[in-house]
Amino acid sequence: MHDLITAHKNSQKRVKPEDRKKKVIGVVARGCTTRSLIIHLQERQYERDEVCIIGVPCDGYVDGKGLKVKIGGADIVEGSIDGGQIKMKTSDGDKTVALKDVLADSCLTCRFNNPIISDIMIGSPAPAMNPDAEYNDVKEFEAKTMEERWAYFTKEMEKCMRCNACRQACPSCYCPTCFVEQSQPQWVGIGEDKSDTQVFQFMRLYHMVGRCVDCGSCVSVCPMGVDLRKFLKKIDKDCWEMFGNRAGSGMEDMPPLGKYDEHHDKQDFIYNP
Amino acid sequence: MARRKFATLKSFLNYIGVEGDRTIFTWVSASEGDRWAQVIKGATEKIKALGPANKMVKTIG
Amino acid sequence: MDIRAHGKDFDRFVNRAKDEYGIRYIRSMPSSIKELQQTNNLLIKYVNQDGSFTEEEFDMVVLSVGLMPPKEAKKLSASLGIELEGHGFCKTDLENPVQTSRPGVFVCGAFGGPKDIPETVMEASAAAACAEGLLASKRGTMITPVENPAEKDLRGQGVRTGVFVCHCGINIGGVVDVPAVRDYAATLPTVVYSADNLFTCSQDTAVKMAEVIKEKDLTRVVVASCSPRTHEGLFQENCEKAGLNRYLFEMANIRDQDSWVHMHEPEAATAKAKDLLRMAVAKAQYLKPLKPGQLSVNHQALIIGGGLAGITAALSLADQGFASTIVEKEDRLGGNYNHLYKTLEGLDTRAHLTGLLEKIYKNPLITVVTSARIEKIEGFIGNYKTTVKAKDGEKVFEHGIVLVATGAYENKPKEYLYGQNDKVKSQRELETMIYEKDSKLAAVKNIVMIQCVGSRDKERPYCSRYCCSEAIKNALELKAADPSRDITILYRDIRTFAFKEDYYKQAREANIKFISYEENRKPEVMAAGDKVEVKVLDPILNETVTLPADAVVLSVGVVPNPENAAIGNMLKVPTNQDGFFLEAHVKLRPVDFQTDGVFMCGMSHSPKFSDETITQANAAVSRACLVLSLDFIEAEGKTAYVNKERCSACGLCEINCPYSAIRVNPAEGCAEVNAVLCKGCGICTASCRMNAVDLNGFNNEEVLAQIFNLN
Repeated sequence: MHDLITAHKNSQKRVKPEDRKKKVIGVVARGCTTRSLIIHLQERQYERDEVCIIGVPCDGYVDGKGLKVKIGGADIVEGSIDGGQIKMKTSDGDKTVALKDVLADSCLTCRFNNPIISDIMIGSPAPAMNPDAEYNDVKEFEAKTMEERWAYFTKEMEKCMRCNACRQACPSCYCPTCFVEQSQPQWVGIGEDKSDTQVFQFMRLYHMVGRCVDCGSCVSVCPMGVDLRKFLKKIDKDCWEMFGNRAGSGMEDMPPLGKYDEHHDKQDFIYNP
Repeated sequence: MARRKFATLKSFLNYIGVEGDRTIFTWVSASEGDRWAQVIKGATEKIKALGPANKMVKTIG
Repeated sequence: MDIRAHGKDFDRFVNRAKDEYGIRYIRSMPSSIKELQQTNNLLIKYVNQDGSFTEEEFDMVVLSVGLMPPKEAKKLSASLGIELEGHGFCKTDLENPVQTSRPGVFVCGAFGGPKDIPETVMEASAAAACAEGLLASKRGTMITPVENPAEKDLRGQGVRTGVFVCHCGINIGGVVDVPAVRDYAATLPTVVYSADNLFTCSQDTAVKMAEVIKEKDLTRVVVASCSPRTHEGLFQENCEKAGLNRYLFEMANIRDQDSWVHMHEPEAATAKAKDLLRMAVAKAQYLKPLKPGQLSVNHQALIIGGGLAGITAALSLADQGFASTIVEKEDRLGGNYNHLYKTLEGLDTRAHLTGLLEKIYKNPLITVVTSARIEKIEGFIGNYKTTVKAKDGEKVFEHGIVLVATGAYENKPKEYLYGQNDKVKSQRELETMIYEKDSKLAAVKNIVMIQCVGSRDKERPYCSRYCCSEAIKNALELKAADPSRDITILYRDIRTFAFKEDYYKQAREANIKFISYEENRKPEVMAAGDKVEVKVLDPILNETVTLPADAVVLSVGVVPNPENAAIGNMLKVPTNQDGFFLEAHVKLRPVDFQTDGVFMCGMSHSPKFSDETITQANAAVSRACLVLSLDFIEAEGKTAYVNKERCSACGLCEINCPYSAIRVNPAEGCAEVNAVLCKGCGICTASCRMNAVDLNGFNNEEVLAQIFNLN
């Protein structure tokens, strides 16, 4: 969506301002997609009338990598969904897998599986997933020791080969020049140094404060299987617990980093000697 | 807003296993010279207690 | 036994003190304080409201002591030829509280009577405005413009830094080994010259600095000395005199932040001075010559609201030679002042208003648009364009500043049978009856007044400030006309501050009764035949009394103009929780907004007396004239700038900017900084994910250079 509008806007830059045309782009959107659209609208990437949202309820997405593991790494030739089952013809013969066993992690605990905003709705609302469990992973991780957490972070980051697929797939990653590519000053090295990779991932994740809609794109495109969601979910949890904000959950919301609440924001991060 | 940025940064650093106490945030007014000195002394002590940083540190050469 | 929290937001502080900090407020009269022998603690004995005594021990007793006229007041008044009032403070004019009894001599602050900081600051500005009014014809006649040589062309030049280390007499030199710092400077990269001076700010050093800049062909100047707060400007001027851009100057503070705070550790202080200097030199190499823009200034003013504040401001502006347009929503000027007949101090406000209006309509510099609404306000300081919708169509005004004087409204209460029983009136209605000589008033013998109706409660936790005095004014008037009248005032706190206390005393002496009530035990008003009855708990008798009344008069207080938020939105200026406009600093900048070029006065700011409104209007004019008297506004050089290539126009900077100085330009697809409004605070820079915004004089490279040179 963002790419299409940006491409159109760039093409209009050569046109006299009074002759510039708006282009309306239709988008088929599930819950997380609408959250992303809301983020874009809040961040004024396009106007509401430049997008026509065809909302669809969502029962979850199949995690392709998980599915492949489940069928023993065979190549899928053909497949169809039949009730709660996926039936496939594979290089290793016919296989059937239960749908609920291969849904993406982000879908299993999705809180917003029905579109938040739409112009046209298709289908009837999807049943709720299991949002109460959405922070279970994070809570478990928080309970570990500092060194265990650091060990996990470094282990995960060592997998990263800086292919930038997560950045390309992420709907919230649209900076014209990513901080990684900036010079004067250069914020982070482009080599294979571990610390550079850690800093790159850390900063990209941190830029998601109030902006990650848990769509799972970064996880699904990562060729190395880095557990990015473990960290993104923490940012989401903090944002909810500290500022009562869930990214893209309402059109009226302000970006959480664009305000503060004198009475309800926690003060415990402030150092008082 | 700086306060929210620091609140989330500190928490996130802590989460990935970098001691949150390495990030120190507070307000000191230009008229609070004494408090400023206390903040710096306190911060220095905290950091010294934690020892040299070795996480996310780039070693060159 | 009153809590006098009549200042803006003061009741909120009282409530917070009670609710959040558990501070007790005891209405009492302390009769004695004794020091206890064993603990040295203090024992206070006080009389409670019900007459009982309590003794309580405290570690410390703090007395609130009030103000007295200065000892030299008499001498001063004699030598200046100005009169003093009864208490020995300066006597002031009822129509203009900063005017003394002698034309051309103005007074401000507590010499004119006890007052708080915001009122003092307002009076200072107002006195300045009145003085400027007299001197307007001579404005700018004594200025000699500074001529500087053309700036050196630095293209293709390397960085050549000159360092000047200052002894500041013994301030620095007595602790820091200045010659050692000077020699150290010479070893730093880019430094081609270093020297030490006894006083770098002295005239001869300035001359020397200019010579060195030329002789050594310096492209950067670093001074290690005192504080940029006091001396940066001076050193920058020295650079300009030698043809070097003033922003190629950098300062290391080795006095306030070094020699003063480490005066007992000379060696460490010397090492720190070297560190600070090294950082400054490292930063200096990244400095850029800046050419801050200029903006032309339109010399007209737009005044929103034609009440007492608006018309006073228009006249005061005209005195200084500036034209203004008053936009008034109603079909006539005057606002709340139309409903006032007399002040407590005895000013005939009717005659005063008539006189003001006559001056307004006669003055060629003042344009009045009534029955008008503001449709749109575009632009910023110096260059506003406002569309006004009036009866005869839309008009567009161009102006350089905006004065917000939107006023406030009388509250319309729903309690105490108001609007249901015609015996129940507001103070304003009573005042009209008194001065319009309403014949019905003759039969009104028993009067009960109720204070704080709709004020100081959950919905409106503020004090409306003038109601106590208004009630006493009307009570005294009724009593004077017919001494047989029985008048009772039911109050929570009587807030007749400063000289208004005289009238409170007068009222008590005239046998006007005062009964206090608590917020949670409000009086009850009931119809009783052709009369009304008021029931209230008398805390002194500790029983409920029933007061028959021919009239119940309510002090209803004020509510802010409901349109404040909309107007604030157009001007990008904030209102506070109660809906009044929020000033730049509650104490020190009571008529300014954070946004330059917009000012406020009158009850748009907070509830206040008419004389205070006059003062605030004059104060706002004084502040506004700082802008209006300029032909150009010079932008400050150290402002934010946007790297367009990096900006994605997300607008986070715009949301966060407290000065409305950065905005997204949707056509360009990036944010733009208005350098005139920008104060260089850096919030936009910090909020930008893509590092598209940076701050001149403190940009990423400059700051990182300092950090990397810490050790």
